Parts: sequence; C-alpha cells; structure tokens
Amino acid sequence: MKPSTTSRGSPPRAVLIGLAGVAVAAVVALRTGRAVDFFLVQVVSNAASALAWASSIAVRWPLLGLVVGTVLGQRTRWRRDPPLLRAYLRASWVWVAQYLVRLTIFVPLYLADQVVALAAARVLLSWPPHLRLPRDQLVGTAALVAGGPSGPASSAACVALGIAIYASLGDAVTWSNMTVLTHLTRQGANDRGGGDPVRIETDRLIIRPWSQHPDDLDRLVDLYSRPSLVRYIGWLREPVGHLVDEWDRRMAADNRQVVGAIEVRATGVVAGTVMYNLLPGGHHMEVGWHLHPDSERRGYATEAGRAVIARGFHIGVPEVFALVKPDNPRSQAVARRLGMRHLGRTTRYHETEFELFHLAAQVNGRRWNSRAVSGRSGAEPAVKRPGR
Amino acid sequence: MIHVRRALPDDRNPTDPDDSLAALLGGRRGAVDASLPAVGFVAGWLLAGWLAPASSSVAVGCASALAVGLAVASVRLVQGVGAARPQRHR
Repeated sequence: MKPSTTSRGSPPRAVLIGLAGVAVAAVVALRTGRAVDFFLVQVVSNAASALAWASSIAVRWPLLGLVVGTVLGQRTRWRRDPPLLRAYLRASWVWVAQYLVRLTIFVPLYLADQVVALAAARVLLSWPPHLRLPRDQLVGTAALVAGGPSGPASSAACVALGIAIYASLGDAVTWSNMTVLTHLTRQGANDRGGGDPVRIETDRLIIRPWSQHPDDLDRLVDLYSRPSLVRYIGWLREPVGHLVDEWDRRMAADNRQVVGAIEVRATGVVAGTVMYNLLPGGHHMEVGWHLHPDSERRGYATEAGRAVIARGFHIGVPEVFALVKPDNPRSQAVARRLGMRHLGRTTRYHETEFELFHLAAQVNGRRWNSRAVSGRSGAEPAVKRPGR
Repeated sequence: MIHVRRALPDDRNPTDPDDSLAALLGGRRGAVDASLPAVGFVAGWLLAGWLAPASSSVAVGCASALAVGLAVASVRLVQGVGAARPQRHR
C-alpha cells in the first residue's frame, strides 16, 4: 500500500500499477488454490514498504521527500534544506509505523486463514488514518468481522487492537504532514523572494530595508513625527529601533512582504517608507506609502509603489489592495496613478473607515504593465524637476 | 472593456493543508481504488462458495477482483484523460 498518485501526478501509471497488483494477487491465489493467498501480496508489500521507508530514513533519503519532491517538481532540492529534510525524516517514521501496524493485523489474520477479515482489514487500513473514520465504528466493525462464526477470538482482539492503534496514528500523521507543509511553505516563500534582504532599484530610487544606522533612525523619527503623517496613522507607539527589528522579522517570515526605506539615488536622502504587507486575515497583500513632506510631489510614492507591486506580481501574488483614508486625496491619487481600481469604502480593517483600492496582476488575460501606469514616470530624468 | 472583479478581501480559509498532502499521497480516492478489488474478490469467492460449493471459488473470486480492478482503472483513466483535455474558450 504505497502512496498512490492517482489524484495528482501520473494517474494512468498509478492506476496500471494498482491493476498489476491485483493481477499478481490473483495469480498467487490461483497457483496455491488458497483464497487467503490473494492477500499475500499485500502482506509482503507492507513488509517491503516498512523496510524500504525505514532504510530510506537510515540513509537520509526519506521516501516521503522523494515522493513529494517528485510530485512538486522539486527533484532533490529539498535535501539541501536541512529543516525540510528533518521534517521528511520525522514524517517518514510515521509512515513506517503505519506499515508495521498494518502488518500486526494482516499477519495474524493471514496465518489464521481469515479471508473475510483480511478483506475487511484491507478496506479499513487502506483509509489514511488522518482522514479520521469514526474510531469506535472501525473497532466494532473489525471485531465483528474477525470474530465471525469461523474466526477465533484472538483474531478479533488482534484486529480490534490494531485498528485502534492505527486510528490513533491519525494525530501523528496530521502532525507530520503539518511539519512538512510548514517547511515547504517557508521554502516556497524563500523561493519566491530569493531569501535575501529586499533591494529594489528603480530609475530614481532604491528600496531597501530600514537599518539601525543613526541616520536612518533619525530620519524615521523625523518622518513619523510629521503632522501630515501623524494625522493619518497616529504617533509611533514604540522606539524606532524596535520598529526596524519588527519590520525585518516580518520580511524574514514571509518574503512577499516589504517594508522598505525609499532612498533617492541622486541624493541618498530617504524620502519615506513603502510597504507591501499582509492585510489582516493574512490572505491578501496591501500596498502603502508614507512620504516625508520634503519629498512629496515628486512621484516617489508612485514609483516606489509601482516597484513593490511589480515585484509582488513577479513572484506570484495575484492581486493587491490599498487602504487609504477618505480624507487623504493625495494617497488616493497615487493609488489611481498605480492603476488601482476604487472598490468603495470599507470599515473591515483596523476598525477604521478606508477607501479600498484593488489591482489584479492579470485582468481578462492581460497582465498589469508597470510601465503603462499613468502619472509621473520613473523614467523621467530627475533633472527635469529641479527643486521639486 | 476591462472588468475587474469587485471582490473585497476576506478571511476565507485556504485549502486544508492536511487534506492537500493527503491528496498528494493518494488520499480518499487512492484508498477506495486500493480497496475495491479486495472487496470484489471476497464477494466473488463467497458467492461462488454459496451457489456452487463444488466449483473453484478462488478462481471466481480472482475473476471478480480483476473485473473490479479493470472497472476502477477504466473509470480513473477516463477521468484522467477528461481532466487533461484542454477546455475550449469561446
């Protein structure tokens, strides 16, 4: 009972392998003339599977990694990720346990010549334990079948105990699946973002993480104490150094996210912050910008916003939203210049009223074109706007 | 004219990750596929033994299992081909 790829991967191959297994079982039973030998193949295959999975763990090439890696097209890249390799190793032990528990049920029934009980056990034990059939029902059914007119009481007890243990494996399987998926998700996030600190360069700007350098921290304090910003987002409630640490943690946890300083190439001055964050709820991305008054009206917010949106679309984010205060027409204008569509007013977030804007990577088959965004273009030479 | 989906971001749950890995490894469908031939075998074996005790009930059981296995394989192959066929866009 090896993992089947019927639902994904290569359906014809999985189906044909299953059919070949039935044919081999039939040949064995016909050769010996004993009905119970129809199930010999499953006994042997479970023993072989337990051995193969245990061996794969011993040589640190866990079969679960090979199966999932192949289906996901990762080949052997997962082996170069130590946490993911460890997750596969642990999860593979759970699979070994599943095969061993099946054997403790199948072997006594096979030796006791219990054909019907073997078939019942086959049905019950083919069901992945984490998909949770009612445990009491499983045990009762198995005991009933195994303890039928011709079944010794020891078989019933054996099956009932085995099924109970097998059903208990559900939690272990769920745990191991979650462990693997957690690491796969993290690896996916690293793949999408490259795993390095964010650095985006546009024609006039460099978007990079805020640093703990005194110049950056001073500028942060200056930026977030300006009335034009405080009016919309309130006063900072923690030291700026902590804020920078928090932003770094946020980007490290999910490389889709960006909280970047907008640095003007020509002068090195930080014009503000551009954000590409998860909205509350954790399923959608939000773009936002905070500009220092001395850097407003130069198209920096549009240029920085366009850069992080393009990056998001490039790494597979399908859509992005923007929340803008109703009394902030300038930011609403930036959202529109980015090509975002106004969806209306919402109070769903942060217990505050916002105008909600939306932009999809692809609309009716057409991809969003960052260069087609209206408004001041980053391609415009900075010298065209001296002193602005 | 370009139409944009007027969807608000919501808190919808993503696909259950536990189910997704189970599906990757066969899941419910794999469990059913693996079980049916065994059920077919026992059904054929019991029926033959009950209707005609003198006959080779093992052979009937094997024939029954193979028939069920073939049926399952046919259904899955048809489903697989159907799923792989590209949809025509109007």
